[in-house]
Amino acid sequence: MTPEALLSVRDLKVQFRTDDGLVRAVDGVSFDVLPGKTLALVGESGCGKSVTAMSILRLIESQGGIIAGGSIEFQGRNLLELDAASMRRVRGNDIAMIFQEPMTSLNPVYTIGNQISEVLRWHRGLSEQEARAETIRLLELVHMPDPRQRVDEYPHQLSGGMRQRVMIAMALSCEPLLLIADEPTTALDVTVQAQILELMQELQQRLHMAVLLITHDLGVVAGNADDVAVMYAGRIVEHASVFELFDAPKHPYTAGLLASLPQLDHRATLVPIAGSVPDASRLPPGCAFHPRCRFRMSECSEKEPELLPLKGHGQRTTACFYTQKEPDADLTQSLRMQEEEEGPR
Amino acid sequence: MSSEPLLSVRHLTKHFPVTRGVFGRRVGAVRAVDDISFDLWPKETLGLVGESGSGKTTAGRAILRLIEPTSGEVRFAGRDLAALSAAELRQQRREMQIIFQDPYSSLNPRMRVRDIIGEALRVHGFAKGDALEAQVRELLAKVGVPGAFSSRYPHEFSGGQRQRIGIARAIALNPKFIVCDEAVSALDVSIRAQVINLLIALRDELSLSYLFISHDLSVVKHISNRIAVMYLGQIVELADADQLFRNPAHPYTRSLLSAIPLPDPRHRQARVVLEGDVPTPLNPPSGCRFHTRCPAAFERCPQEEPELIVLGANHTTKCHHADGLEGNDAWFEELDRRITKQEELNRAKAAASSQPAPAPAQQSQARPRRTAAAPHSQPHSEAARDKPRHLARACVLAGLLAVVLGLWLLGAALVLAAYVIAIRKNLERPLPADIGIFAALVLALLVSDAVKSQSAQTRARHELNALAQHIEAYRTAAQSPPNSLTELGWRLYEIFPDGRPTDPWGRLYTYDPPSPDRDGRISSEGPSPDRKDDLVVRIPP
Repeated sequence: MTPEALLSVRDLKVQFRTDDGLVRAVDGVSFDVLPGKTLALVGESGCGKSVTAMSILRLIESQGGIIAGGSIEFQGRNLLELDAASMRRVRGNDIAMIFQEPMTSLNPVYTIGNQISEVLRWHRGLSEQEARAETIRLLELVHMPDPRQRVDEYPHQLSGGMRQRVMIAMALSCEPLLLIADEPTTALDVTVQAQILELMQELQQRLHMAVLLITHDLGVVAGNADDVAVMYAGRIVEHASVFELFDAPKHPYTAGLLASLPQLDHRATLVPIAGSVPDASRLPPGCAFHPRCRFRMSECSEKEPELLPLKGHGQRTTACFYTQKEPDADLTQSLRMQEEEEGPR
Repeated sequence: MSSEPLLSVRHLTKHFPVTRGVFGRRVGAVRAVDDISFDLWPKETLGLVGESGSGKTTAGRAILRLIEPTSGEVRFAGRDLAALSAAELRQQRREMQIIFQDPYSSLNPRMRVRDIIGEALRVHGFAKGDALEAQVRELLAKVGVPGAFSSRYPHEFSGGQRQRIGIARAIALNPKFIVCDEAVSALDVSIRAQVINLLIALRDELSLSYLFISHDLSVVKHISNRIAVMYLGQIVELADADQLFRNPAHPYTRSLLSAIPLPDPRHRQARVVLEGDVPTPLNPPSGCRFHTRCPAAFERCPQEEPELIVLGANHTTKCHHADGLEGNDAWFEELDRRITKQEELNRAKAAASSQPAPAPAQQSQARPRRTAAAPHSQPHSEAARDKPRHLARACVLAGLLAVVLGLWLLGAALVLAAYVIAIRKNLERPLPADIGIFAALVLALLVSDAVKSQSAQTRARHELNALAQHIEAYRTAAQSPPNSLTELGWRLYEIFPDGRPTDPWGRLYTYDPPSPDRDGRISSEGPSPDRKDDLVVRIPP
């Protein structure tokens, strides 16, 4: 455990009871978020990245999730042991969250001014006038055009990008130490996505926040994160700094993801990952990725690999028997060569 | 490439009317696709990119005549699609197919995969029975789904497999041309690469042409030969894929390209971040539609719409900056210089005009809002428009008051007047609709009630009059008793020529005359009523 970590999640386990039995949505996830830094949680749909985020704010319990183990320490306090009232103080004050779909996260029958001032009056105890003035200041901070007029408008009168700005203004209203951004730009157009990402970076620097960025878009990760944790089937399979990860992925899944992205500068054949993400209620034995893995060995289907530091690669960790045995293998290169030999499909 | 384009689109336009009110008054049009033209050659893939609302999906559907275009021409293999009859179009559709974005809603959940793919084969008479099953299995094998799955239902497949089934359905009839409408956008990264590779393999194997519609530039770049960039219903730039990425000519393309998040952490700088959002296609900006957000806009841009400028082989753009650069070999350096210079000029201007946001940004924000408040383009000032609205509202309220007071005719007239004012002045929201409807209902009720009670009263009065007359006649008759039964009969006939009257409940009035007995005298006892419930009018002799 790093002593200076703002948030430190250890061995988090979240389960859901379904008709198909117990689903381990998150199965032993550990990571640290450092103050002022951005950690990206990347993965495809169903890998448990959003469930992890919801668990940090303990919002997952109301969705039927059961936090079955582990600890979530924020500034030295274990959030899993707090009572409802202290948890409510943590939410918004210290940790804020923005969601993917800004339209469903805003209340359609209140003006955006109402919704932001509500936070200010609850958490910071401002009077009505003070809250309104502060709301306008916040809207200016997120570069909302004409904040004095917009403050009295309803969510449906705003475009998707402006709604996301409102969500960010609301999240920032108590100057949180940690911002959890769950797919903040997935619903937006490319040019608007660029605006919002730019804004988030600017605000992060100005307010010195830590950001936990949850996304499936490796492009967004590359442009915004300091560290990256790649998730697959409820576990972290690779954890590295953003440069290390994109320069030389050390887990076959990460390498596969990067090889399946179209490149802009040259037209190389895409190397997809065969098969599809396994059903969370029927995970394969051993390493959950082994049926799709081109580097699998006999032990992969027998026991689960642990997330361990790679020899000669400093802090970075992977959960893969193959790369732990051969830490310097160039996975991307071998994937391409294999694809060329085997041909498409 | 052959000399004849497979698909040739000229001035294709699709406007969706915006209507309002009960009578469907047309108050404007969403100009979803506004005069686009391009050619698609055999075996070519043309990428169509744009942000949401740019009209790319509408364009794809209008080309296939899945929606009827407003105007323009689409020629497919030399035939004008708009001129085809329904039957001919159905035949032509064998050659033109579409793959949809959402693999969940585009497959019928109640049909087996065999029927989903085989339906077109059956309808067009390609195969049936065992031959059909064999063809379906072959198609499934082509898209990489095990043939044994043909008897399964769509819900048993993952998203990627469903999209493969959608592709199998599209290639079933051996088409030449497929519109891929965001065909890979809903899929996860690893699956998306599988489907892209499949589309490319099928294109090469079956000599297909694709119109590849997507908002994802890197995917479009990967699969397309040429790319058309759409903004607010127009194609602003069209070029070879590599050329477009190397030398983008239009400022919109330039900013679009710089906004793509690249999977490369060393590539963080130099974003051209556009201000504002895409304006509404209800009332697109004047002149060049991009001028409200363009970092390099100048005086000419809001005033005149740029012409299509041919910059080089296969490279066209719609931008005033490119004016005069046709056929110029060094056009890109010159264009780049012009745009950069204008951008610097605009930045300086924005900085000079003090802090509140750069000028183009303010403009861009002001426009969509104004259009949202007044979709019809009438240059009324606020006050001038408010006056008739207040009048109309006052009329409705006065009318309601009149109805409550019982002056229903006056009330109806007032409400009607309000609606006439509203329609004549073309108010976008003349009256609170529910008050109007409520008023109409109340009026209708009151009117029908009044009419009913009127008629009931009149009838009752008539009956009573008739009865009074009968009674009078009887009284006269009783004063001079008839001398014989025959005379009685005649008298009865005179009094009741149409038979005996009834009361409003259908009971007979029985005429109870003091009939003479055998001796010719009249007894006080009359005959008993015919029916038990008949009324007996007894008048003492």
